Amino acid sequence: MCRKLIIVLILLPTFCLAAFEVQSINTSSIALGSITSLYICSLNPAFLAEQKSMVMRVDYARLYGLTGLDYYQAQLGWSSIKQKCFGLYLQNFGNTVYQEKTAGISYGQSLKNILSLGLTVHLYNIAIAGYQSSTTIGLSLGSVWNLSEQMQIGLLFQNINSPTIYKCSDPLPECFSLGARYAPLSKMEVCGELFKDTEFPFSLRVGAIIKPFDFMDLKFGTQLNPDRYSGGISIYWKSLSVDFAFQHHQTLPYTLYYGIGCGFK
Amino acid sequence: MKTSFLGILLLCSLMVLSGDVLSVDALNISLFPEDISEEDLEIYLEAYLNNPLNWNRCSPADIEALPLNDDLIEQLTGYKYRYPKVESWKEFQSKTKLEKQELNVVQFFFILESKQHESDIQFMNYTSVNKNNTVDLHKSLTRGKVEFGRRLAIGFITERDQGERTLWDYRNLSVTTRPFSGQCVLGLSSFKLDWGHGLLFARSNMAFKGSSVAGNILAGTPRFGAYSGSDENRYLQGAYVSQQWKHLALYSGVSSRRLDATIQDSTVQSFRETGIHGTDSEIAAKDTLAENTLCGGLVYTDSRFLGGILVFQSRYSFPVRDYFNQYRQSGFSIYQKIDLGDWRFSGEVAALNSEEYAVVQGFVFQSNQYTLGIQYRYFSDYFSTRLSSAMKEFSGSGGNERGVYLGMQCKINQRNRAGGYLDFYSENRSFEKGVEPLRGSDAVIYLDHRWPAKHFINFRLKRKLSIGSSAKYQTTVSARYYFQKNVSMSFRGIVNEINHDRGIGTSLSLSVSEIKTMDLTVGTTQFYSPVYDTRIYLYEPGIPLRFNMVSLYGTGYRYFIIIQNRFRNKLTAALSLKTQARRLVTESEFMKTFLVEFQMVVDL
Repeated sequence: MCRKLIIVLILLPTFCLAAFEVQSINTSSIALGSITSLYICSLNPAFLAEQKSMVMRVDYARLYGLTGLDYYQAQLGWSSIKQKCFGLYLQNFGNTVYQEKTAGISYGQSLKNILSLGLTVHLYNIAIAGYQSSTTIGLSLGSVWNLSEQMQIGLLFQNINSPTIYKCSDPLPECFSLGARYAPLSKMEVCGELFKDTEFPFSLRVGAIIKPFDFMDLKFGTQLNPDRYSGGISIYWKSLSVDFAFQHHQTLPYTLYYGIGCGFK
Repeated sequence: MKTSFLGILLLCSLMVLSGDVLSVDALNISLFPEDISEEDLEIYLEAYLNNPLNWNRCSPADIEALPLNDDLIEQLTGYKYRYPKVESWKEFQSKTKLEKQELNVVQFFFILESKQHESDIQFMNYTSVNKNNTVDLHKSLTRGKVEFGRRLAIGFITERDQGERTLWDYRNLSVTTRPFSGQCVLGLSSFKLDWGHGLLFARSNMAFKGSSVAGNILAGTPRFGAYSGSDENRYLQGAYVSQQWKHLALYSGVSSRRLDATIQDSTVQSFRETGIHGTDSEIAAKDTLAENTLCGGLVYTDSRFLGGILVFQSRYSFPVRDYFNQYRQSGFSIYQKIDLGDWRFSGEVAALNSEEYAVVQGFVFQSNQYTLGIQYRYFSDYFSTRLSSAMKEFSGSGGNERGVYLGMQCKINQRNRAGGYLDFYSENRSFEKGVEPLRGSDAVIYLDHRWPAKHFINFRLKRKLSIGSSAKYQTTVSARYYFQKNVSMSFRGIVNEINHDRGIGTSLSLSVSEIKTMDLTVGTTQFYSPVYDTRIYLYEPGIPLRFNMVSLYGTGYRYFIIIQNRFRNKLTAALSLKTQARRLVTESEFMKTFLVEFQMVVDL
């Protein structure tokens, strides 16, 4: 495993992740080109207010298929009839040598079904073998603008309080995302996002969903900076959904993502 | 490839919270100096956005000071005399018979204080992406205002400029409350003070020589205002209270905040006012200076007389070079406005640290047909405060200026107007040995013609003469022709001439409004400016309240398209795509750039 980790580090000159750089492994979002500001259970807490019931989901990924780079994520969302919603999530990444843990609590509110606003408080914890662990708090704010039945705009600010970890030596990513979703046909959706991490070049992400059957969604996506493509499939049965996605990397093996959710459709 | 892809993908530049366009045509562009930056213009208009006038309480003089075109100003002052109190916009429209577009403009600058005031939520997001060398996020700005009835209003703004390392590099909050009665206003967090002629404090941060005689010479009504503008430096932060009695009003505020400044040898060498924190030196200068300010004033008002006195003191954590290396700056101001029917006198006297002083005094004569005005100004050599913005020619730090402004406006008949101004200015003295103090004059004349079918044409000629250098001439023409009620073509052209070098810029645009819920504008700008002195500043249409007015130098062209659509009657989204190709006349290759802007405004 150690040898594989060393190879990964050598092969990552253009895609070197800082702490908590991978913020979500939501299978649906990954399949759509890593769009973060749109869809329920994405990073945008305002989307919690767009759903009408309770949602739960669990996602898993092993980055580049390498043992030790395992990612787990569990999410829970609940929406009241007064258009208020609450959410919880837990994430774990890494192994016994290096481990990132994140927990978050979200609150959202819909205003007249036109604008939804949401806030997430993240608790970040990092543990490196031989060092003391470090914990910090981050705040993210999101909004959803419902232009029409077919069109939504999502806006997300991540870590607006400029959190740092390990006694201010390592700033966590501060990201801006502006996404748009458009459903021209009942069986098709397209989406796009402008993504800007303040430390990295601006990234453009686009995706599409095709719904050949009521019980199935096919998803495709691509992104620039870093240039990658992705795809996935979602199967629905009653209130259950099972998701699979893959993501390409220019040098390393593909990453496969698996997810299961309840209360989606 | 990426350019077109972005253009298609980004479905949709400043804003209006009422949701409709405040176009450049509603404004009196001749009011503004020709080299005003886009950012300054937006900041100037933001002051109105954050603190609209209350129709039921404002005076005709307040209306005259608005940066609107003469036609609209005249209509509004007429309505103010006829309908001084109005309960609702429906009532306002039924009485005034204003067209929808004009009403939208009025709603931007005014509020109505009705008996029934419901909660109101307004949000705006603006995002732009540009390409110079690389494609990058240019600006991200979010602004909002939440009103809980008449008692409480909360405003906020967040902004990130290109290259800044923090997502919300600038964030601000303003709270306004009326805890006891409508006459007592308490404000918290960020605020501004509008006082007199702006010798010590000014809300809009801008004062410029323009063609509106009354707007230039008459002081506005003093007031504190909530601040959620994008100027990151020129405001106060703390708390204020204002209380209005029958004839007397009290204004008192306390502020404690940190400023960007360049500090060397434990002395403030300069204030940094760009608000940009991208480079290491900019980040190092961020919030380095503490400023604590205390101010209080009294104003007496009756039907013909307004007089006020204000005292203030600011204390800094380091001595400030511009303030004689002192830690402290204190001063007072006295201002008056006397209304004798057709004649109105307005002026202010202010002193700083008992050593420096400034005087502005003037009068306006106004009849149905003519408006004439004269104003004298004097600023002693080192008269300077951080928040002042009086009308001056030499806008750098320090006072050192005297001048006389003479303005005239004439309504020739229903369709034709003419006017202009002359401004003579001079430095009191030169700080360089053997160098004459700078002196010069500005002369402007303009002529407006309007047809009954709303077509119009405006001419403006400006001569700027500085003693010892060549005169600079600027001719501006703007016109609009309506093919149909909702289809129009606009033309704007500028010729700058100095030393027989000539710079020319023209902009032509076609607008179609109300295609169901959509408005569309397409157009082009062509420019040629062989030397930097003949550079062109040309207004282009843009996203509501965000005007593109870049400095055009060299030769090249621009194309632009602006789409605005209203969704569900409460949400307005606008997209603008602008491309430019430009090269210096001595170069052979064009440099191509683009700007994509997207804005959403929701008013719930």
